[in-house]
Formats: sequence, C-alpha cells, structure tokens
Amino acid sequence: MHRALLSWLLVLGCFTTALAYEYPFKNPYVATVLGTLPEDQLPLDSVRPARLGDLNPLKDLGAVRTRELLLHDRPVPDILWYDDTLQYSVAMQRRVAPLLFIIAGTGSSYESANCRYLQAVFHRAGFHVVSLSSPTYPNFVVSASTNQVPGFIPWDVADLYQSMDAIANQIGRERISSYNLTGYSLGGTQSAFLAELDTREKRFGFDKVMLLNPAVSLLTSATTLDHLLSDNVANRDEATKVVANLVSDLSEAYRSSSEVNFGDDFLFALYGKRSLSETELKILIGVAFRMSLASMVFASDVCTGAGYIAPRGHRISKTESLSPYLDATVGVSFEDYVDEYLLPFLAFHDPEMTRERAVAASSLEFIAPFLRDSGNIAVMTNADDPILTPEDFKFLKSTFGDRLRLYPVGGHCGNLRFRDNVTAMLEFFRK
Amino acid sequence: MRTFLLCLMLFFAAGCATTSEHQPGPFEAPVHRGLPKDPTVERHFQVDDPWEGFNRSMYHFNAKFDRHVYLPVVGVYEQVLPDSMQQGISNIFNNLKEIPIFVNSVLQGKAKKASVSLGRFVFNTTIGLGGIIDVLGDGGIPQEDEDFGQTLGVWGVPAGPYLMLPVLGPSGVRDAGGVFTDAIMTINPSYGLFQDFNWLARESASTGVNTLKAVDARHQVKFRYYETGSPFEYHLVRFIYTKKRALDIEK
Repeated sequence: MHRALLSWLLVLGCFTTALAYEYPFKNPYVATVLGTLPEDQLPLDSVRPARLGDLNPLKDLGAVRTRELLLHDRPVPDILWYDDTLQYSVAMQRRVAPLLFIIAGTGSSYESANCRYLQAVFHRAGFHVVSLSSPTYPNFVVSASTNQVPGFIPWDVADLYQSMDAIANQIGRERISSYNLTGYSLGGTQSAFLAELDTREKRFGFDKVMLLNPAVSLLTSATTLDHLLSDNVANRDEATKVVANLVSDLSEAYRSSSEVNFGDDFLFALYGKRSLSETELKILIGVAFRMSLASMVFASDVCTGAGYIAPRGHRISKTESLSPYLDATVGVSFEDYVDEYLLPFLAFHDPEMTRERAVAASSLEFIAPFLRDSGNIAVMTNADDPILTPEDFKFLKSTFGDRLRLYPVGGHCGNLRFRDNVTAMLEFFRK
Repeated sequence: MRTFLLCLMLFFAAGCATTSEHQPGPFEAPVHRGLPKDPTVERHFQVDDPWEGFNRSMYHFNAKFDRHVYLPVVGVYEQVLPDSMQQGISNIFNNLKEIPIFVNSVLQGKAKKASVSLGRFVFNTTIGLGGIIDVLGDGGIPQEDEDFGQTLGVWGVPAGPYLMLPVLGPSGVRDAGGVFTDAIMTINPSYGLFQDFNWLARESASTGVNTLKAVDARHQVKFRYYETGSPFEYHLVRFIYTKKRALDIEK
C-alpha cells in the first residue's frame, strides 16, 4: 500500500518541480501517528559515507552508550527504586568536537525513536550527541527534578540545565569545542528557555539552537491534546472500547500473518491492511498522551507523598497491586493535573503565584524579546501541527521572522525524520 | 549449580529486606482523587493474576538481578566477542531448539511447520557447519515459534494463572511446565563431544555450555526491565505477554 503510494508519488514527482515537498502523509493526524517511513528517512551514508573508523573493534568508543548520573542524594520510594539515577545516552567522537544536546518531547525518554535517529545522524555528522529525557518522563521526575512536580517550565528548565551541566562535566568539557541544543515538541519549548537561562548562567554559551515542533504555550497545547480525547468520546468506557477495538485488529493482523511481528513497523503493517478514521487517530493520540501523563502524575505523587492519587502517608509496597492506582490516575487530564496538583503545589512554595502567572511563565511569549534578538535560534514546524493555534503561528512568524521554517504538512513531529527536514537541520548546525 | 542457586537466594533475600527511607513531603494536595471503591470491577486489558504479590516481588527481583548480575555479564560478552561470533553462538543454540520445535509442531499436527523445522535442522546442521550459520534463515526461511506450552494450549489445557519465573520472566502455570519439557528435549552439545573424558571434564564442559547458553539467551532478548519508564509497566508486560501467548496458540 505504502510502496504503491510511494511509487505513484515518485511518478507524480517527475511532472512537478524538483523543489516539491514530498512528505507522504497529508493528513496531520496520520502524520503524527505514523511519522516517517524508513525509506523516506535520510540514510546515514548520505550524511557522510561510512569509513573504516565506523567499524569499531572496541564498540565502547564512538558508539551510543547509556550512562547514569546521581544528581540528588535522597531516598527514592520503594516502588520506584530503579529510577534513583538519571539515565541519558551519549555518542562521542574520538576527538574534540562540537556537542549537541537533544531534549525529548512530552513523556518521552532519551531512547525514543526520534532521539535515537537524530543521535545517529548528528553523530555521523561529527558531533558528540547527548540525548536527554523530558522532565515529564518518570525517570527524570524521580532522579533529576528538584521539586519532583513537573509542568512548570521555569523549574523544569532549571533542572534540565543542572543535569546538562553535570553531564558536560561527566563526559569532559575539554573534549567539547562548542555547545548546541535542539529538542522536539515540549523539548523544543524547553530548549528556548534553556538558551535564555544560559545568557544569565553562562555555563555553555550555545552556538546554535533549533526548536523542532515546539509548543508555544504549554497549557494551550496540552489542553488541545486533552480535547482530542474529550471531544471525541463521551466517557472513559467509550475510549477504552475504541482502543480495545484497535488492539483486536492489531491482534488479527498478527495472528493471520506469518511475517508481521511486534516491532517498529508493526503500525505501518496494520495501516496497510486497514485505514484508521480521523476520529480514531485523534482518540489514539489523546489516549497515548493520557497514558504518558498517567505515568508522570503517579510518579510525581508517589515522590511528593501529597496524597493526590495514593492516600497520604500510605507507603506502597513492592508487592502491592497498582491496578487501583492506575485506574485512578488515567482519569486525570492535563487540566485536572494543573488545577488540582501543580498550581496548589506552586502556591504552597510561593504564596504570590497565580494561575495567570504560572501559565504565562510557561509560554514562549514570556521570553519573546530574547527570542526576537537571538539570531542563533531557529524554529522548524509544520503549518498543520495540531498542537498550535492560529495565534501561535502568528507569534512564531512575528518573533522568528525568516528563522522560522514552516513545512506545509507533517502534523506534530511526523516529518521530523523526513529527509528534507533532516538535511535542513544538518545545514543549520553545520554552518 | 548449587552455589549459583544459593547466591540467587541470598541475593533475593537481600533484595526483599531493603525498604526505602523515603518520607512524604510537607505539601498535601487539596484534592484527593481517591482509589476506586470496588477493586474487583471488571476492566478492559485486565488479566487474571491471583498471585500478583508474589509475581510483583519476582518482577523486582528479576530487574535487580538483570541490573547487577545478568546484564553486566552479557555486556562484557558483547564487548569482548566480535558480532559475527556472537551471531554464530546464537545460531548454534537456536539450531538445537529446532528439535523441540519439530516435536511440538508434530504434536499439534502442524505439518508445514514441522517440515520447515526439520528442513532447517538438517540443512543448518550440515551445510551450516553444525548450526553456526543459519543457511535457511538467511535464505528467507526463519525459525518457527512453537513450544510445549503452546502444544498444551492447542490440546485445550487452560493457561492457568499468570506467573513470573525467576530470571526467565513472564510466564503462566501451563507455559512454565512447557519450559521444562522443552528443556529436556534440548540437547547439550557438550555431552556428545566430551563423552570419552572423565567426569570432571564432562561436568565442567556441560556447565560451561549452560552458562554460555544463559548469556546468549539474555543477549538475544531485547526486553529491558523498566525501559518503558512507566510505573505501570508490570500491567503492560502482563497484558502483552498473555495476549501474545493466546494469539501464538491460534497461529
């Protein structure tokens, strides 16, 4: 199906101009869910042909490694014992080289497919590359967050900044010739704030910063994702049914085919057999967001012991069933989380904090003058990105001017690994 | 083997004994979402798990064992040996699995799978130099996935409660029984090679092969505990395992 579509597009491509943008999925929700097919990604060999040095007898040198960092010496709750240290991944060059930090998107880890791909590309292009989990990822909440309550950008960014500083020290600053920064989705928004923070703290002096599909306002974008679910299903049972339906179709595809196996391209295989309606796709994105939110909310609640989900004062043992907690947590939308947990927590630490102030401080508009004057910060996003409102686009255009690269299609991060996009990223960071 | 088991038990006891000194902070949420009143309510994606307490502690134990013992050993193995050699070792052990796969395919009356398995074993053992090269796999005929747990399933034996096995991971009562039956059907290659030697040589060779087999087994499994990052990973693994087994039996 894809191949048929692709060859058809190729034929079409011969008749149109050579400059046409050929990303295959024109529907933003399809793009968001399916991303970029492997054959549409930029091959590593076109970044730089493989050399003998890439065949590494001691795999340790140069290849991607996961490393750990103990940032806070404090007790970790029993059931989260494995998150005592911050995990990140690093791919080093063997000589002094520029460093690129990659910040993952909402609820994603340093090992997300986007991080792994960008890490491979930029490592091949000659950068040391460090991938970091989002401050909304449970491992970061437990190990690296000072307050362990994520979602307030100034705090999250301060924690990221500390972690990045410790990482640069751990890998050795003498091996780094310059610092660069990128991040996708919420990680893009945080990258902008990190660049701003660095002008005051001055521990890096970023050379280039690129924001990929950033949210302009965290609350607006997260609420949009909330609504993908609440606008399309009447209640929780209905959402569960839609997902159960999808699981049974996935199961059927697995059962009836000898080739299909659980793996990266499993969704593609299913998509070839059965098309998903736009409503189903919206629900799917909404459910995925809700599930990653649930992990974050529960991890935070267990760490603070605030009693939001788990009864206050109750120590959850390693043998206790978490089913009731899962049940309670998936009912929490992002707006619920903000009003019932995050804002009260902020007000507890700073009595003058109001909802307006917290929301404003978590929007790019808060640092608009800085962004307008910083020639080394660029934005790459899509005109059909569902997390952005028309006002957001207006803001991005007026703030970044010709440093904003706007693709016609691609949804939210769907075209992040598409060859044209990656070529443009390489051009930006190499210049 | 006995010392190994003893170490394992000590390790397990140590893992259970520790409790964190974590204390709740000063902030109390104004809203308490509260846990559902009726915990027995029927849920989608819920799997029957009467031994959940035991299974969860085994899950923690396996993760700790992985982190402190198993994965470091596998890591050294992966660093020291060239990829091609690791692949060859995997191929040898996978080739020996063809015997239980063949037997189970026959027991389930699946003629096509049985012939694929037999063909793979014959060609890979001869042309593939004792299984070092997966000749047929490289030619597009991959290994079938059959085991005694699936055979029992086809015969109508119910899956029984979900069960976390030490070191081996997610299973069920029926499938755990299958694991042991399949192990009996799998030949230890050192027996044939070392049969003329004395007892000590035979025993050490067999232990060596079993150790290598255990290291290779972990090397071949991509799953890492807590890699999903979710505190609810146990639920996810339990659901996917149970679902996949049910589908594999129908396959």
